[in-house]
Amino acid sequence: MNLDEALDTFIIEARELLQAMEDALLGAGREGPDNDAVNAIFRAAHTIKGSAGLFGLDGIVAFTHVLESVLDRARGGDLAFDSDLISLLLACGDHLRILVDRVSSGDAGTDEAERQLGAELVAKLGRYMGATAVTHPAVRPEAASAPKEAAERPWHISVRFGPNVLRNGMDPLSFLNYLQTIGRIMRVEILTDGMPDVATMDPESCYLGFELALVTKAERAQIESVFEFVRDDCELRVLSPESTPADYADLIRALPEDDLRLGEILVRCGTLTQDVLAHALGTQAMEPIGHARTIGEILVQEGAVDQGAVDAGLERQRQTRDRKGQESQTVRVDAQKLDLLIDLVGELVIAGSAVGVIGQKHKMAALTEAVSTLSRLVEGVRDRALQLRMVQIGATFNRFKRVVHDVSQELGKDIELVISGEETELDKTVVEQIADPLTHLVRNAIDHGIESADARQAAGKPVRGTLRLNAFHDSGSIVIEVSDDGGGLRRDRILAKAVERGLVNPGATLSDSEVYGLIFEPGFSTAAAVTNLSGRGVGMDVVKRNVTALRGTIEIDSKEGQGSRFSVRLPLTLAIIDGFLVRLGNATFVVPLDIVDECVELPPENAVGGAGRDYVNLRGQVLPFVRLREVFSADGEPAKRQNIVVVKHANRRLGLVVDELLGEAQTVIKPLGRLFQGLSGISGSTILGDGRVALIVDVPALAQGVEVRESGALSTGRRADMATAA
Amino acid sequence: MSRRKTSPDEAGDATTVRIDQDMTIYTAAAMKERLLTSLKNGSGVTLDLSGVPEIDTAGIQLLLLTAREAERTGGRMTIDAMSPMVGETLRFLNLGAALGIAGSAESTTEVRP
Amino acid sequence: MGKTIVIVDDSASLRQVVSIALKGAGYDVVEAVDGKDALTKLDGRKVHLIISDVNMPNMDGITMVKEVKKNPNYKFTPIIMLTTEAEESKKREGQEAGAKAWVVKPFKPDQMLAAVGKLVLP
Repeated sequence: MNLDEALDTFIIEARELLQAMEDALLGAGREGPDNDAVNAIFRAAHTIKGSAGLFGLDGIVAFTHVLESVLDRARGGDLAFDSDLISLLLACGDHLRILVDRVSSGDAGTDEAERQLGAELVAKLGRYMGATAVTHPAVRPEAASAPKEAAERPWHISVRFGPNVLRNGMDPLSFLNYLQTIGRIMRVEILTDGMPDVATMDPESCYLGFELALVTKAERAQIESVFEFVRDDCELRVLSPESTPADYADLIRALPEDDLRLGEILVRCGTLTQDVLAHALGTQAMEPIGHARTIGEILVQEGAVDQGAVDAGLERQRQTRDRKGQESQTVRVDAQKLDLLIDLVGELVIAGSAVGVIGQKHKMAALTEAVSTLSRLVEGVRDRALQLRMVQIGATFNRFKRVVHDVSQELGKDIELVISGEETELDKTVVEQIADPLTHLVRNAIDHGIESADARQAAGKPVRGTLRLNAFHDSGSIVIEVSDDGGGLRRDRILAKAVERGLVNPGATLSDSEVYGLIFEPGFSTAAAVTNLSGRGVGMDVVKRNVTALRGTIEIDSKEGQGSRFSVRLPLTLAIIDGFLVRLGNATFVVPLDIVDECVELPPENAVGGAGRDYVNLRGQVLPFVRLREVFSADGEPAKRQNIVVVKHANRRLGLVVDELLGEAQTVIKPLGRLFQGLSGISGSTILGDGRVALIVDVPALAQGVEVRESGALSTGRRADMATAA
Repeated sequence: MSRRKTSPDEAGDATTVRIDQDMTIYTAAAMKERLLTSLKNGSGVTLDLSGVPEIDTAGIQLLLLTAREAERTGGRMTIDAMSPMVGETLRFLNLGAALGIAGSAESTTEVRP
Repeated sequence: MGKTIVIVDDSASLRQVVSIALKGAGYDVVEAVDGKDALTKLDGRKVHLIISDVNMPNMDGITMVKEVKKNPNYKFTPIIMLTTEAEESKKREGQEAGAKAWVVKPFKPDQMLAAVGKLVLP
């Protein structure tokens, strides 16, 4: 039996259950979890225990058994869910998660520290058991299986079934058949004496009795266990090979049927010989010689026992069958398989555009048309493939319930976590990589953002602080917001610190967002006291770096005394973008299409750069622009008529001046080689249909550059200062 | 036509009943009526069980009841055809003779005192 | 033509393992995630055995057993309840409702096969 796939299912399932358990524990109000939550918690332990047992994961079974016992008491109302118990249960969940991870990594051993932690938790759980002792964890072997080397011996089974067995779905025939899996039935005799006349006979009642001889290596317990489901609904007598003729005499007399007839039946079963029967029935009061021998001895002597092939039947049953009839609503797919699919779709997209280029070059209308159909289909496949990898951010958000619970307890703050937009989807790879930066933002908000209860009271705010996590889609990006109703960023203190650290010249005038942006500088910290949390190594600069690595940006919005909001803006996927191709000199560049607003011609008066002239009037609004030729030092002469690609980023519009507009194309993002990684303004590369490499313009980085330029221009009035400052 | 020749000659022609459904607890009530009705003319019954997909203890019990009732009313129940599942079950239970299966080695009478 | 068994449990891994074991022994298997799902999956089909957990969302095992026993197509179908040692009362409740067989969780695949074998031949 190959259970590898099932084990994977178990691991995924166990993790989900542990998450559900944690959610239910954390969702508990002051009065403890409600009924549904208690049931969810119980079910997690219950299900994990049940499934772990199937795989022989005895460590997990043993631990969940104790946990389940405590939860069962709590479920029954014998135990109150106080904060101590909740904390203990959370710790148990963590421990289980480690055990499951160990199964997942195929690591059979146990860590000493881990084992000790497990024992400590069990001891703590034990205190909640009160008078009820924890029963021993229960992976038991099937009722006393026969020792391997045991010899086959003859037994006699006498059974009278009660009237209700059939109605209960218990078919005596099945029990008898099952006996054949533990031994050989030499002969069965049916007794119909209990069956009334036709008028009163109820066809759904059972009136039958059976006498049978069984040759088996099994012992009494195993034989009797065959009838365990009808134990209360039948009269079962199992006579061992050690039984004497006297025992049979007792049996015959105890049974309702006529003694002589029963005797005949036992003889026909092969259980008794005529000889023994005569002794048993005729000479009960005396002590004849025959009584010294057991029935077993007599039968063995008469050659009734020989080698059987019981196992052959079992083997045959185990032959694999086709798996029709398996029904399931969802399919779990290895994430790696999806990645592979998306890689291939990427290649397909490139190959498709290559064909398109050939068609255009040779002006083959039919081919071009066929290619356009093809690319529409490929686009569909691409979208579906990417959707497969889209996951809701809710699961990530829910993890923060635990972070908020733990951190706020640690700091003695009362904080409520409000989650919204959890159904917002984004690429799995992005989700995985954003968890760490988000964690830090959440910790930061709890640690530095939300004030102590005293301070809040003094400021006339509700004592309980609120932390919000929100997510939504916005023009090809996902925006994740972490906001708090705390004290907000202290502009003056940040600025003072920045000056002290030499990050900003004294007296420089900076916009709010520039000042807030300073907290992302390496080594920047304004907290008066370094707390346990902020001392954990990851600084805001790392957050910023991680987000940037995902082609994302962070914006800060803050009002002193009212709170702050960190908005992380990320691309929905890292794999493929719809690109807008532009030419600069001989090179082709790609602008992500989803941020392109429109394209306009560069007015001739702006053709040549100059101080204060990198703005155009676009329908009455000032549009700052960047000359990409300058940014990327393009070779050759600029085109006579340059164009502006108007892009939108984080609610700001920005123009990119290019030589020529080449049109749309799907582009598969390839990471930049190490050589180019430091290159600013470039976020990646892609391969065009004709095989040439194109660079992808990093619009967020350019936008930031323009922002610096603008503020510089506004504060000093001269661009030249910015140039020297940079 | 050979079927007729197997009928006991001390009574009139036995009715032949072909059963084409499960003989289980689910069909037991209706099956009892059907089998007993076939005995009405006192000449026994011949059963064709080749179309019976499944039989359980309830079905076997009805066959035993029918055989007993046939004998009581002076006829005989015989089974002249069985599906593999029925055949296997009746052989396992050594009911060949008791249920009048053609070719069964043992006689049907010795059990009763 | 194997006999059909319905396994009802909210744990996907448990269903999967039981299903592998039963199919290996020659039974046909239908999986259901809870009591409600089981009642839907029964849907007139011939079923020889139902194996059901007690604790399940939507509809628990006991309620499902009571429903099954009301249905003339399934009222005589044997039912194995999956109970834990802590649930002695549930086991009794299940038996009163009509689930006369039981397997105690946690169990090994072979233990399940043994219990099933006593009730239904493959």
